[in-house]
Amino acid sequence: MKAPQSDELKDFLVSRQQHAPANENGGKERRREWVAAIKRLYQKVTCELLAESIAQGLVTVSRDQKEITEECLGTYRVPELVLVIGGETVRFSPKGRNIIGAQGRVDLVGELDTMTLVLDPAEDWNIVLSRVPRRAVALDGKTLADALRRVMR
Amino acid sequence: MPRFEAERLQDLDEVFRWYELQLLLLNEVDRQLPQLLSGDFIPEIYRDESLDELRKQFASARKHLRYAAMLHLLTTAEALLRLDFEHLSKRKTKPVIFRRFRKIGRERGEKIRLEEDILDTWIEVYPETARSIREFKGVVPLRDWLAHGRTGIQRSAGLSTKWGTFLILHPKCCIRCRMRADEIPWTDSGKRPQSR
Repeated sequence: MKAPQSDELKDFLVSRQQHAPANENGGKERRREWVAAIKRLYQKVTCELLAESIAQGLVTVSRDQKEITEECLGTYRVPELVLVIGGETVRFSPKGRNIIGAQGRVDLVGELDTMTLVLDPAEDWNIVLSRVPRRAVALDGKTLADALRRVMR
Repeated sequence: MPRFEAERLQDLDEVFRWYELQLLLLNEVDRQLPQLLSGDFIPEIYRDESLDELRKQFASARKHLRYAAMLHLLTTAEALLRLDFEHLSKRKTKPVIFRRFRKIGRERGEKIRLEEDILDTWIEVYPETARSIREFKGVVPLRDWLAHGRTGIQRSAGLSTKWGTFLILHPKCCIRCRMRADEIPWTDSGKRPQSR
């Protein structure tokens, strides 16, 4: 004869089950917002900060795809922005939405170095100059130029 | 039934409690990581890190902790066996093991070898302990592998009972470490590193 399942075990399993759907629904929304924020970043970089250089042919732009798997968000695809500047490739590569102290993170990956861009609660993108002590600056033409200088050969 | 003097010491308990405490703390912080995503207080060390990367770092920390604990347990066990040897070899009483240890101590002075002088002597004098002692001898290459940065030439050899001797020295360690034995990379292929 089978022993009845313990109440404590049942309670534990129910509590986990109740936890899961909330995560799933909230996750879909967060994922959608996150992908939209990435697209806004690329829009700002290509249509605002680098618009003239792109038009002059100094910078070539293309897109790639990347798969990310995150807790509560699942596996999803995000666009990567690829810039070719003077024959050298620089990539904006999303890291994830679940970032400690930020609403999301995109890495600027060059041949020499990588810099971190984080999304703040006001939906603005910042470039992290130093983690400790913490120093981050708003993304604009000057800070993007500094970042590119740092990551490129 | 002969018993190790080391068995009566508490040092292995202390080492194992250290391991359990570290594991508990790691797991506790690991469980709390998602709260940092929406929390006000963010330790600088975690800032801008992705949750998944931190999870990987914690998994890696647990792996290194297990290796460190294994090494700590093995070297502590060896130290206890050596202290035991030193202690027994100075006793002026009749049991054979004391006389054998005294003789080896006189011959080799400071250069007492764990396997040949201590463990093999236990087996010769008390054949009923052979299985356990051989099991402990089986983990000596693991100690070497861990102590030498987890590198070394591998050779074929089965090592299915690598934690066996802790059954004598420390039952709790044995049970716990057996569960983890499959995570030691070289046990999957039935190979072990060359003993140095």
